[in-house]
Amino acid sequence: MAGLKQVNQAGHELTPPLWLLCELTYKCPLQCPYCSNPTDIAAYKDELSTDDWIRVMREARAMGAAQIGFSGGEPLVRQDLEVLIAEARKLGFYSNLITSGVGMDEDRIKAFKEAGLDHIQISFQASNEELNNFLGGTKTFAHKLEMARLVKKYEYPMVLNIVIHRQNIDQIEDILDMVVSLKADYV
Amino acid sequence: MKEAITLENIPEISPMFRLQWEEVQDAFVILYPEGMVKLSQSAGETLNRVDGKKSIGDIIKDLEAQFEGADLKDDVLQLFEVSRENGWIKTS
Repeated sequence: MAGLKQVNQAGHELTPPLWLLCELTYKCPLQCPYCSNPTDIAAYKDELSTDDWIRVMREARAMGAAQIGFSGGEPLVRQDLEVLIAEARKLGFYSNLITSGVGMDEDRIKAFKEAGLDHIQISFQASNEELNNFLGGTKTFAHKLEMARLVKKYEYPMVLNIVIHRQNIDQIEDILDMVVSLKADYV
Repeated sequence: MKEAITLENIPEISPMFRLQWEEVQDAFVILYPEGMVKLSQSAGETLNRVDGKKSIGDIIKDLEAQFEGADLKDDVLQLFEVSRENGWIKTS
């Protein structure tokens, strides 16, 4: 890149990329109606292999990306997630795991830590069991609470993500109370 | 209100943040969930000396030895105040 200044159509100088978001899979155990992932999942079944992702990660890092996000779908579905996390750490990325928490357990949280994962984000659909499980189409609320506690037990910075819409906007106060009680660092 | 930072304080980088050299940015940066702060050269040189063992007084001596004759005390103390406010460092 030395000596080359790239500009966009408006003439503004292009700066190096900062962030590589890896949508590792479109498979997901949740069925949230507002999901922005493709609905024609069958057409996207040819996911990148482990080696392809590692090549993409190396290229992005060389371009200057400092942050990497592992997302989906549900990234925990990928059995090679620990391998990808370890490679991200080796390359010097700050790694973010963006998950529903479904498919996670204490052993995996510990293994991610050992692989060098920097931080975990867990999604909640609402602040109470009934609405959370209704919106996600699955019984996951109790498990998500448990995972959030474990994320802090293993001393990760924790982000909680909640999509706000007319079904849960009246719960904002309860949602923030929940976030505080789970000791989230960001929401 | 926390007490003002003194030369005797020993800073360490908070486990919620990561400091590292970024080749493409040609700078030290502080990384945190989905975010990055690019440090100026002087701030980077200072925070890169934080190891949980050296006191702020030691760090200043070290900097003044490298950047001959500069009087850095006030600037460095101010940087550590800002760094603590932002949660980048903890002091003991």
